[in-house]
Amino acid sequence: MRLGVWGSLLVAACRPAPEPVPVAELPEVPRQLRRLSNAELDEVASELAGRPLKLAEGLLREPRVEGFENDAQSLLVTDLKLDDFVAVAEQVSAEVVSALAPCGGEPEGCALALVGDFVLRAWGRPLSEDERGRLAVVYRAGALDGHPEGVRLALQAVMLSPHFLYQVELAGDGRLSGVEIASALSFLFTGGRPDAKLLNAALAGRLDDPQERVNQAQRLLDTDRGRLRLRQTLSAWLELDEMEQVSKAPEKYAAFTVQVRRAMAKELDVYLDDAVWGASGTLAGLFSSTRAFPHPLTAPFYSGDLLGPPGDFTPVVMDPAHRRGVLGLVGFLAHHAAMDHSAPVQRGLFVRTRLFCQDVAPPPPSVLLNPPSQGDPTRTNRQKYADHSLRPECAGCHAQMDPIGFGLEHFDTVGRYQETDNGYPVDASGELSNTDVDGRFEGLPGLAPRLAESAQVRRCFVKNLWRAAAGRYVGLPRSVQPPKDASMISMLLDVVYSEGFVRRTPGDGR
Amino acid sequence: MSRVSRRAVLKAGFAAALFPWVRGALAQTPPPPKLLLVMQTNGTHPSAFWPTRTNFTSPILEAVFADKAIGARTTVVKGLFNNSGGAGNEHDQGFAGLFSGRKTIGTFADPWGDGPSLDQQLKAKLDFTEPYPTLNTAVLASTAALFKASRWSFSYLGSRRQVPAQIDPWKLYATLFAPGAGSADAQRRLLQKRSVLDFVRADLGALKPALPSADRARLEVHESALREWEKRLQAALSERAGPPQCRAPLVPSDHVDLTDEENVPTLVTLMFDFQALALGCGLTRIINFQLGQAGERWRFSWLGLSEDSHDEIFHRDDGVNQVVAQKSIKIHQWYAAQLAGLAKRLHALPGVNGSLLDEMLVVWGNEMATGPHGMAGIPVVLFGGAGGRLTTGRLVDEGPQTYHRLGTSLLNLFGVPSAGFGEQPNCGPVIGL
Repeated sequence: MRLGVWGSLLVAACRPAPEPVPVAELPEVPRQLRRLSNAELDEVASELAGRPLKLAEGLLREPRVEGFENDAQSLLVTDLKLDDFVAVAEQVSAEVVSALAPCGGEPEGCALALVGDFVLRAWGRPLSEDERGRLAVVYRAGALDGHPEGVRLALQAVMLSPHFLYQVELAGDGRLSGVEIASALSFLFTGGRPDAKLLNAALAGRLDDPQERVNQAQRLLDTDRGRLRLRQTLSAWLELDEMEQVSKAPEKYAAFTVQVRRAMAKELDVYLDDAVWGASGTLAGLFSSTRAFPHPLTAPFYSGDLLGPPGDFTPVVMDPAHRRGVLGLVGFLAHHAAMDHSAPVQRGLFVRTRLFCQDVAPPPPSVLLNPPSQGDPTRTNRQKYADHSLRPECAGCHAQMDPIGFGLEHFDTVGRYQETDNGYPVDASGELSNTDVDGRFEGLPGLAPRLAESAQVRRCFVKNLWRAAAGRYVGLPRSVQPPKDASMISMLLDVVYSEGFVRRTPGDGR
Repeated sequence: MSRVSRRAVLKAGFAAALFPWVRGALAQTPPPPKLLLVMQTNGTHPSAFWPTRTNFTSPILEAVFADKAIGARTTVVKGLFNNSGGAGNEHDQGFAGLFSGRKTIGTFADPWGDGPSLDQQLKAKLDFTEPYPTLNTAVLASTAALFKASRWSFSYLGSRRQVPAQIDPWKLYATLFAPGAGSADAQRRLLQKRSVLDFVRADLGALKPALPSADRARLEVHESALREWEKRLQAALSERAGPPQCRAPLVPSDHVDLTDEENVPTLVTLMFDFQALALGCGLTRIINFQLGQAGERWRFSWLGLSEDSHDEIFHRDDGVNQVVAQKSIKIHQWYAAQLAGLAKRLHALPGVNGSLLDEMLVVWGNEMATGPHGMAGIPVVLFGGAGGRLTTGRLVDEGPQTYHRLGTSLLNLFGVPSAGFGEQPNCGPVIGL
């Protein structure tokens, strides 16, 4: 049993460290090579260049899987993608060489010393003797055009090597090596390769100790970079990425400008930071807090639900009779809506798949799928979706989504609270089924406490954390049962603490 | 809103007179046919789409048949259906299925293709001399937020292994038309790059055996990309053949926002210009191109429309509602005009015994048959004769046939004899094609 571990790790620094209990509740995943995502490439390359390169915009856009962009199975090195990597290697190597210090000794020795340091940051591990010898060959080929050219070519070889392009998890004896653990930790908590402290801990063999992994994770989390990365992970889970790209029917929602969307994105960030690092730190707080962080640009979309004036993303209490938690933020609501209506099916699907980790069956073949027309002024949006429950071929699946989404019908497509829809009173009664918090509820103030107390939502959260760490589809055994007061950080640290974090099955590889 | 004017810079290059080298270089052996797979979303409006045998035109396809030369090189395939089902909904099933012959896998919210698409099947089976054997391209500018990430590409190397699409025409120009080195330094540069390649390959080779087979397959994709890169480095030793248009085409200078839906017409034009030039200059042989993500919601402001077309037009396009029908037909006519324009560009380029269009094939497909997710009667139009392998200028209408047959026909046309396609290894080709 490790229930005692939940919740205690956050405060490991001020309480006695928990006994490292060898447990493996997290299912092991196969050893793998996981290609760096665009964002990770940007992070690592920027670190090597010593300045932010802001590469992501120019790189080939790649699929996200279940919201996450680090899926090992989907990230490939295709023709055009290799061109991306070649271009980045050429850019970074040129920048490094342009600042090349004069070599005081024998040029090849200087080059290999520099390349060795570069590899520590690029691959997250030291060069082997064999690799050093082979890089010397590359250097000599380039050095025909002079020492800087030799260095440049060797750096390019480093940055086109699979040891750079992939997070390598060979797990020779079924367990990640120290440096492999260091990269696993680092990509999860910073999106980049290990820093010197983490690498030293790895090389000293300390990362086999789960408590040391937790200590390192806490250290990385407590940086701007670490907090940003955690926000990104939460945003991937909650489908909050690319808030700036969310747009609405321009003739009806002219006020929903890009400046507003940027402010909503910032507000979501501030909210997530507060939810994670603030007083509660629990999922219950994430889903039921009444503290919003509005800006004068976003405040109008709260339509009177703010019980104080908006500042520069400073806390303001929301009317608890209308809004609770992250699902009550205008940014979330606008992100989870159609271009010109509230999209109860989409919102219900979000709760079902992202918060409860349940699947929804696809529509049967040949069903005439007619989303209700927004041109019909005689009914509320909810009434327009009534067909779903009337038609037996639709009812089965839509019962998994619509009754949840209907509970958010007080919020229109840009997150404004509405008492009426098309002039008729809004019916925001909803119902949860097939969950551990089943039953009817009334509006978001009824839904939010259910999400806050659901053990299934907590397990789903851990599953998403494990997905973010493993970079692949994962299951989650029922034995993972974080208690209600477990903080989000403690659940994250427990992933790191787990044996599953460092063990890999061989698959059918040798 | 920034919209560049229609660029004339490339059009000039398409006059056949400017491409005498093509005829010379390809005088004897017929070149392998080239292929352009185009994916449209949201089905069509059937009653305005299908021509008949006696009246080989239709309201939607008017722009195609208005040009007699293009009409004579057009084949319309009627009757294909896709009842395979799969993960996601019909958008996903048709989008990932049409050119792979496999039903989608995964879940409703996270559906993926389950096998290699035609472009990658051909790439694996045929020999190529082009620097980029295949290219995956798309216009994905959209007002609508992304619904499912898998809807960004219909090109697959294998199950769940999606080939990302390049959406930036300027990058495509820069990549494919990078000037050849052609200098005395080139040989040494190549040797230097080879030393990098040797290093990288040794690392890959050492890693591969330790990995599960799925990962090994991904590394083989990586190895293949390295081989193609090496070939391109080798080719860069010599000056690129052909007239200045192929060595250094005039690249459109006015960048537009690749995510702004208002730029869709501009981006489609640029992509088709680029594709014609890349095929005409022998830089690639197979191109995939998608017009928007699967289930696209373009508002078609450039046609004077303003609604979420997926919800408000296509889904409601049931053949009864005449107001919706008018809008739907207007949109489908726009698509047809774009494709007719592409066919004209290709026809203006010379081949060996006719035009480039004559010796290649454009397959204009669709993820569904109708906007309300109908999957029977998927609209498929072929442009070009695939080097005399196809009799054109006709309607193929032999009753309902599974869509897998289209894949079989295409494999056979492109030199990969096959009895079936995807999940139906013995379905045979399209009857009557």
